[in-house]
Amino acid sequence: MKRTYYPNYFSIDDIIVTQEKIPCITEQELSNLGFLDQSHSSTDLKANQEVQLPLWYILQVQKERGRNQFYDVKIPNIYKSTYSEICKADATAVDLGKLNKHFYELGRYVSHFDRNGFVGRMIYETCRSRMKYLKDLCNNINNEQRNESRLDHIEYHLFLEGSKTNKKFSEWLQESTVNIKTSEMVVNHRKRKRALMEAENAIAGSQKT
Amino acid sequence: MDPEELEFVGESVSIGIIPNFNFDAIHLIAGTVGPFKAGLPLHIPLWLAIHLRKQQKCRIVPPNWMDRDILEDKKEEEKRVPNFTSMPCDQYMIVSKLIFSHASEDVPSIEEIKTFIKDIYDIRQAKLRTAIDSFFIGKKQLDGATQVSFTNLTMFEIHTVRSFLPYASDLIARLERVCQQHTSNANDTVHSNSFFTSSSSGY
Amino acid sequence: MSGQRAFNLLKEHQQTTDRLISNFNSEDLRAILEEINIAFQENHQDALKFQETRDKTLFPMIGYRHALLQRNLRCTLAYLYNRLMKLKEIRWHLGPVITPDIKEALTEPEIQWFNNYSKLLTNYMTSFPDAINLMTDIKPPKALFIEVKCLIDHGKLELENGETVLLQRNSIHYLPRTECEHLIRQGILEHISH
Repeated sequence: MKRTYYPNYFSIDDIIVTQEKIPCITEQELSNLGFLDQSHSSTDLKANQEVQLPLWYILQVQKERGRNQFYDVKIPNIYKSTYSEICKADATAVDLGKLNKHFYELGRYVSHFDRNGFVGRMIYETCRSRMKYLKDLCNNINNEQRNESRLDHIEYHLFLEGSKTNKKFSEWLQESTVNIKTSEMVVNHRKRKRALMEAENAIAGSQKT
Repeated sequence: MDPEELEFVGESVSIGIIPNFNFDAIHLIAGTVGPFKAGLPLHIPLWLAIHLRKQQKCRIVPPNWMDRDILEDKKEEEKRVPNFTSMPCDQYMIVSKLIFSHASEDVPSIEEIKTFIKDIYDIRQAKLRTAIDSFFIGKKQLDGATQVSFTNLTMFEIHTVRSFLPYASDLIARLERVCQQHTSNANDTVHSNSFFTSSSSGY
Repeated sequence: MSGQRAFNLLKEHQQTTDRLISNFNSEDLRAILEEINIAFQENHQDALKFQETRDKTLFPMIGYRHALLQRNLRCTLAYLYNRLMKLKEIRWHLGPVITPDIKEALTEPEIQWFNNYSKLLTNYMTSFPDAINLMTDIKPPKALFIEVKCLIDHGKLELENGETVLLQRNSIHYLPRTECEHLIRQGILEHISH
């Protein structure tokens, strides 16, 4: 992955982010769109009805229709003030992975619908204060107990790069580098294959007994 | 760059040797080396010096700065000064490592020198970490920028943070733009009741 | 009507970890193309209907279908594109020959693309006076000969000087760097440091 995140049209990460569902309130009656709300079985969406819509759809509606909106887009709970209070108190302690794997990127999109600029400010401040912690995490190459799952997706990739570099330099300083290595692609592939085979064997074993 | 690549770059610095053999000058792309006369000191690229040293064909003359007193002063200065001090050799880490691991007998009081260099490197790394921390969370100046001085940082040291710092800053900048855009848009839409006017531009 | 299928297709590509590339899913792809076609046809009809009736209640549905169509298109193109990028990566890491298990997962056009890409790369490398091989000397080389350990039974390796070496599991050899670097990259040999 490129270390700078500027997604293009083909970006899988951006497609995953835009798949997220966002709570919306219909501003008018919308014929035939009843199927978007699975909790009701009516053909149409009524005015003032709450419905969860995928981000890609909302963005398209916004692009096509500008001011003349069908929906009032709400801010998802994870960006509401309660959560932001936690972030302010100690942003490094927050398990971003649990809130949303794409906390920053989703926040970027959501901030378009945020009148107060609150979400934008919050993700910016959160990221800024977590960066030192992330950098320290990269330096901590020998620590087996890792908290990678607590990171945002982009943070995680920064962490991978950072810790890889730190490992290389400390190996070089300790003169334990090997000049030529197996391609990472092959190594990862082998590792997964082995894990898969072990899992299969375990299942086969448990079935026999 | 990886450490191996940095080592490759650093290997081209010139170093003094005393050969114990006779040989004509060798004409290489980067310049001519030699001729070699036994016992007569000359300067050649570090990579060649290490190669010859491995075959016991020469003795390496340590660079001037690889001296106990100089390094001790350097260490004190590095401790005293808040910014990075200027190093006597831009490739000091590469030169030290190669000489230490292949020609340690050629350097007087090597153990002390090793310790000094390691200390200097550690002090500088600690400074680098602090500088980066203040870069991320430090107080902003009036113009909204954070300022950190990386002057005198050597190439090797730069690359220890090269794969993280710019990209981390990029992420921060990316999110900062979201805030800024909002502030600039909010000014002209304060009185509007429409939900979307404040954010419909640019995306 | 939710775009979920196209999204799952892309997920399938991304989450495949037990093999280098997932099987080309032509069945889902065809279904998605069908969904795109239907959405387009229906929108076309509704547009005609609007011209007659000026019935604005048609708008929300037309808007949704249009968004869905574009979303499906994006997922599908991203699927095809990212598969090609994967092939490119395979070319750089494993060389110009695709193994049968990879070949099985590809479509004919993809194999064609791989071969063309491979040819292009080879032409570029041989265009230099001394034919530079970009796959070797990834790291600055240190010595002409290196010591390697064999990780799997690989069979015979013929060296440029005519000598043959039997690469057996756990055997240790002293080989010219240029002739075994690609085997190390493929995980057949391991470079031993001192």
